[in-house]
Amino acid sequence: MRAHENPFRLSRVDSLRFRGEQVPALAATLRLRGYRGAVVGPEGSGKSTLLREIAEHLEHDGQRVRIVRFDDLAALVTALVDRGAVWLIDGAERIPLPLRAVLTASLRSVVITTHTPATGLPLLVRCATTPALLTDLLGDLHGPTLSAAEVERLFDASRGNLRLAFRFLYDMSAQDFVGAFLAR
Amino acid sequence: MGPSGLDSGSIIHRVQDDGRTKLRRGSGKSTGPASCASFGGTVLIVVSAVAVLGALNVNPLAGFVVLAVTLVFAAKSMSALTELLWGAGPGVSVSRHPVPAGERFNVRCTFSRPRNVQELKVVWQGREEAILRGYDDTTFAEPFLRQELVDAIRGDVSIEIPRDAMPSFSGKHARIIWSISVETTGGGISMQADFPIIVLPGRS
Amino acid sequence: MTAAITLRNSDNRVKPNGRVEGVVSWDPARAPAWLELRLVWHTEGKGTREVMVVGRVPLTDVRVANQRTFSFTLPAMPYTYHGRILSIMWSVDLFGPSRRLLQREEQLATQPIVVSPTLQPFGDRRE
Repeated sequence: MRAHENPFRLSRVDSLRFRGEQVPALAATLRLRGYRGAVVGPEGSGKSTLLREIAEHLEHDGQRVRIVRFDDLAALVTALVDRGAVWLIDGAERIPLPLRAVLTASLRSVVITTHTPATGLPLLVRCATTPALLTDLLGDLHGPTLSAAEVERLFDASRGNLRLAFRFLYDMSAQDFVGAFLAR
Repeated sequence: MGPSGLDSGSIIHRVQDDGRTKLRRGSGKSTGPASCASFGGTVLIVVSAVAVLGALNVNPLAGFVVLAVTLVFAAKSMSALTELLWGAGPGVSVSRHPVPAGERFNVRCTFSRPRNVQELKVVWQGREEAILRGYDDTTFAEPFLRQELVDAIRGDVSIEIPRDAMPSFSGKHARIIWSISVETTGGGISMQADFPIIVLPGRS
Repeated sequence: MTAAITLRNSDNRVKPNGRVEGVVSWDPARAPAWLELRLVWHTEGKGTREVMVVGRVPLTDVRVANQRTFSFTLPAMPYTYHGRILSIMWSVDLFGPSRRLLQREEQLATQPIVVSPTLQPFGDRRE
């Protein structure tokens, strides 16, 4: 199977919408809390996806929003002086602790994604994955149909990390034997 | 480097006196006493420097500069020492570089300590690489052509690049790479080195 | 808004350094504030998507005119490539302002092309 035909190619996985908590409700909660909060969850649980969708809603609120990655040092430094925007920082646990502490303490409006809840910011939502969620997302990707047992096996093998699960399915689809492998 | 993959400056090659081009190693790894000695020696030198600086109560900024210089010096000298003791690893030279698709070139492998080489595999390969930029950058590789070159150490081996070969390409998140890959085992050391070669579009 | 891109080369296959010519048409009554035609290659597969705009033609008077001819010159590389973890694809795309917030623009029409000296995609020889 060619890369651009693979149902689990990255551009399709990245286009999946967040499942779980209602994003408009989360955006409303953020508004009440002065746009400060933390999205907590393990790797591959949809935190980055949720952050992007929260950003859309905040823009709709009329807020000026900036999404930055943990490793974009220039943008993080800019955040310290640009107090007018709502800063959404993806992967905050990867920022060195001193800089992270300064950012969360000094920024008026900041939302971060992180693996651990101890951030100095109020918990907005905890992201978690389940086999049922994986099944739901697989439906959107229109890939090969998996049985409940196969989804369970895939979920366990990837330790709940959905990105890892999709990567695994990409490899299997590329070699045209998803079902045969999961049957082992 | 632009998206064409034709920036040969990134694969610095040295034209030898015999007209052949010595390829620069792109990536590689080695395991065994050589790498252990290199790493261990470097750590020992740096730790010693820390102890000396601490005993002398040196100013922190000056101490940091001295440590940085020591680290570089230690790494380079340990690398040179292990090369002296165990050899520098494989070298690859080619008769011409870069090479257009559909044309031929010769490959020769050389070793500084050939008697230490017990197992040798030289592979001519083309692979596609896809880079995932996430929390960590991950590079996925998938070979589309693999051809083992027997007798590459005994003399020149001739390779013809297929006329329909995809030329070398280098984008931000995607690459097409052609290379000579050398795997050796000997003297307690396992070494794998990759020597990229630029394949140009075929001449029409 | 409906729009269409039609190439002069009916099989949509062009050689590197060649010309891509055609017509883009749209409904002026529903045209947005601006439109732009682009010659683009992008990647798909296991890695992060990469998009490179090689040529641009801003369309003027989009609420008056309903079509425009265009011509792009292709570069020498990259070729269209279909692999297992990587595909490189070429296309002529029409862009306009996005209706989604946080997105400045969106693709309104696309016409894929194959760019190759053999007029066949590289990598996959089944086509």
